[in-house]
Amino acid sequence: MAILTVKGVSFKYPLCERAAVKNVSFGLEEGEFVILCGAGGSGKSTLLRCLKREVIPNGEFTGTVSVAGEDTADMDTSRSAAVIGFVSQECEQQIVTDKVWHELAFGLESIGAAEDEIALRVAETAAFFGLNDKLHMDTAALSGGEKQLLALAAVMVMRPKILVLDEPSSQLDPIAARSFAETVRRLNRDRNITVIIAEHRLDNILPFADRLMLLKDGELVLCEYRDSAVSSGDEGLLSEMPATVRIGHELGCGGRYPCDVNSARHFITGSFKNDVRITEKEKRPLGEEKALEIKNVTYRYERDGKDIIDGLTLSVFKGEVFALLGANGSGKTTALSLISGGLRAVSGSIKVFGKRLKDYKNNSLYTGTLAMLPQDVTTLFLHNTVREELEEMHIEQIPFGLEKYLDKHPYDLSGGERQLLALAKVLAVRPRLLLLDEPTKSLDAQSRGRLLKILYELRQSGMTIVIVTHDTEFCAECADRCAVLFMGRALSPVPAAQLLADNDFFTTPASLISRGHYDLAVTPEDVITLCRKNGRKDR
Amino acid sequence: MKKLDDMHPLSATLFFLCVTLIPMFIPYPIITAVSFIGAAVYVTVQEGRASVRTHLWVGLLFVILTLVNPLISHKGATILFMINDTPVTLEALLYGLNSAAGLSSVVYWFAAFARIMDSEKLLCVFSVISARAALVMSCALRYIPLIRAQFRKTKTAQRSLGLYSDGNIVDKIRGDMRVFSVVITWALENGIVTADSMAARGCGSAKRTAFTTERFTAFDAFAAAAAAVLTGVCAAAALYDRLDIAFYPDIVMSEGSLLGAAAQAAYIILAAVPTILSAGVDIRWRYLRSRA
Amino acid sequence: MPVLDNIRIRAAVKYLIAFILIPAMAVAGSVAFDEKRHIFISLAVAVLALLVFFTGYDKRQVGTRRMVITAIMTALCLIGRFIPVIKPMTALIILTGMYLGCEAGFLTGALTALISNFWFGQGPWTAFMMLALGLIGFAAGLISGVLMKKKAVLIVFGAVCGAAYSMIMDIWTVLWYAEGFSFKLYAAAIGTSVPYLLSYVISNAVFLYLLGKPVGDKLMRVKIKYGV
Repeated sequence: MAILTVKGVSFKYPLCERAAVKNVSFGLEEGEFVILCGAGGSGKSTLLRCLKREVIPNGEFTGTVSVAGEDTADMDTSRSAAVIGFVSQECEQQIVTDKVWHELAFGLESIGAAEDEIALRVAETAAFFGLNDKLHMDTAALSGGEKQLLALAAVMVMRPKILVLDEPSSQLDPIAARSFAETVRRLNRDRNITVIIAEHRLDNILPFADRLMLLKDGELVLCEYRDSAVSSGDEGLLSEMPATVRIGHELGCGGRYPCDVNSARHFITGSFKNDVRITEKEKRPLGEEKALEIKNVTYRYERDGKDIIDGLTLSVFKGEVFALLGANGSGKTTALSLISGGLRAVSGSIKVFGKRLKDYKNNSLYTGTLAMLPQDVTTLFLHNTVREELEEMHIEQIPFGLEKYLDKHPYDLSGGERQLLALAKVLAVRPRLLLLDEPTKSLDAQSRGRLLKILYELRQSGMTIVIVTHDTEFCAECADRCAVLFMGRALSPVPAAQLLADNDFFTTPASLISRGHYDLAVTPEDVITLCRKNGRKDR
Repeated sequence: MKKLDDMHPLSATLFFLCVTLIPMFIPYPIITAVSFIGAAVYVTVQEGRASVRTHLWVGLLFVILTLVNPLISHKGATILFMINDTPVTLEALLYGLNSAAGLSSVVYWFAAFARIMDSEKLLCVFSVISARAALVMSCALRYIPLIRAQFRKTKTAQRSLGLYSDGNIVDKIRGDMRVFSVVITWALENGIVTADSMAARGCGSAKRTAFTTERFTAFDAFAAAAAAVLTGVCAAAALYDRLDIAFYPDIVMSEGSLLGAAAQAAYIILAAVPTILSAGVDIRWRYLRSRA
Repeated sequence: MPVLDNIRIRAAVKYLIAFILIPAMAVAGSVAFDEKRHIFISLAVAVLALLVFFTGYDKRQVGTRRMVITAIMTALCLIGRFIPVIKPMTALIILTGMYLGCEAGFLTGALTALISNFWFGQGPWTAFMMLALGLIGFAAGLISGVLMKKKAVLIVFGAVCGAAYSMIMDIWTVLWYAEGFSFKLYAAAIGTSVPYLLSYVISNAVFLYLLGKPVGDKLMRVKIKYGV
């Protein structure tokens, strides 16, 4: 019998004409791993919330959700809370208490479990998730990845049958995202937990998936086993797929799609010749004039602390898109704050367009010279409507198709739309140097594509752009040069394709797929072009 | 044997309430003096060298409180000297001294109390009164650092839009209000996320169990009972007027009595116990270590 | 509780407890006992009032979202108390009472006092501060209709609350120090606390002027969108 049966679920937000979710029905077997796909605003998040009674948003809900044949609406509250586990993307705000052990106990406390039972289950869960040495830590002291794992553990304590995960790793760095995905997989395979997950990047979880579902404008248009879903060739679905699948599809691999790097690599090296090893890309001449010149900068947060930035030296030329890569905690955001004048360097000098930062008096740095898009764009929103936000910056010609949202509250926008609004505000000061802090974090494939296009146009117009990011694929698409930040220093900058083609961690899936077979192919498009140019091997 | 720090927060709280409330309601010189000395010694044992600051400011408070009364109240038979034709009397001075000892000992005790009560213990005590209010409190405590961090982030972000500057005081106030407003929106919107995370885990569905890592041991029960009994003796003495004192016009104290003496002894024990426990645990620890 | 279903009865009970029962107990206490016990009576009354409220809050069905939003307002108030001289704390308590109701206002006020005193000095006065700030939030909830209509009224209300708060705490100072209440000491206490009084009055007025509308809008939005 199906573990989860969803029948005729529809949902409408108050004051909205259109339903966000329309008459969705499906059933899941026990132990299945299902990915819910769909563009931003297709109602993924709403549908996932509708599956769990306790988190259904404010609005009109119809339909039934049953677990193992029992309608969740008829269950008593403590059982319905336990049987479906729900984890959302906000790692920080999902944590309720300030000690790790208390967070684990929270759910069981809520449903009034006996103290001994709580202790046993907390012990068990802590052991499973490897949280034993952290039990007495403050939750605030955990890293983002650890927080998200704790949120998952705090749900698993209640022994759910089904896990509903709403973009759980969109705020995490790649390594944390990977380990989160693997933990979910372990729960799915070892504990027979049914998983239904939405995620903005599918690289980590696609290999684990049994089935894919696709939501379009609130309607469930596809619910198939993985391979047949991918081979259906739906454009919307393909745009969300990882590089491996897209390459496979474009080059007509047929049948089983490569879901991981190894199988994609086998497919390419086995089927395509490599007489031409490199694509000719237009080389953009770099100007000699320096937009940003950093010399020997050091910075530390506390007097006796260690130097986060330690002798950073770096030059960015005018009109260049420069990406700064680096592991978590390597000081990327700190470096950006130093450049933007948010923090003051302990020693060393920073020049923007040949003038030292401190020589920009009276905010002149922020009018027409430099602007920064922060990682958390909500820090830019003050007003109640998008219109007021734009008016505040004296924006008359509304960019990026934001007209549609003028009367919405900034917090009611989707992640991608918020990013556009923030970018519009930041660009309104007409900067010549634009700093972007993790611009693709929490963006879905569609918004990512749109951002790429905007950056491309900005580059054409001569703006200098510095991006700090974990997202190597984004870097491959748009950066001219990039450098790795390590031990507070920037290792020598090289052209982006060269760095990404030469490394094992700071690299892209496309590069890993084509490495050795082709040279400097770092984006899926590079690989596809090269394969097409070379043609298939003769059988 | 456990230090007050390691006792169950309920016992520790009861203990502190007893030890502070008695000198507040029984302003008998011996009681207030014992309370003052007991608290001062305990704070010293507890904080070590860091206690100097506490001593300094409680000392200052003590002096001020002592002097205020003779300057305001001119009752009393024994005139010490005159200031601007108003008499300063011995009784008023002693009255001031007595209340000052009582009041500043309360400050001492509460300083010590605040030091051993961390947020977990506070919640444990509070959840006995109201589990839901304790939950609200715990949430508020958790959000304080988050809001502060967001405040810093927002400041940087707004600054780089040229919308925040701290060049002069008006700009700074305007900028801070702006940042504060942005942060309030953020906090409220994100509070909904927290609320949903709580609801998703069954919050509000049944009567909450209060799960703590604190355990109520036989020693805690014994300490609580002892504190209650000792306080009972003091209360009885007060009810039967065995610990009365009148300052005006002449100082008149209750005559010595068995109950009065017992109450004083009881309070001496109460005030000394925190220090004795701390010292005792340390000594036993050293002894055990030396045998190992 | 079927008896308390009727909104009017509930409102009447609210008024009764806040403005009649508690003062009545205080007066009765001071008449029944001699003046040495004033401090005892006042402390007992304050603690009792707080207990009544907190145990009542435990039984009430308050939605999780409302609880958390109350917690967030409390956190903001707490941070507000750490700002030197001009503090938005009381203004935020008033706004909480206005938009989230009496209970939330009281809870925010009382918890802010309780928690912040761990930094500002804990003592028996905590009970009075909890009650005083709690009642400010409660009162703001009771007359929220009037306060929301006219900004001037809101600002005056804030200023009055600031003054009242300072003077209530002065009563406590006097009771604590002397046996029984004396007007002479009270006048002296008010005299020494004039700077505080002014700081409260000015902060409340200024912050209600500046924050009244924006914070009100934000709370209204949360109320409508998330059904708080």
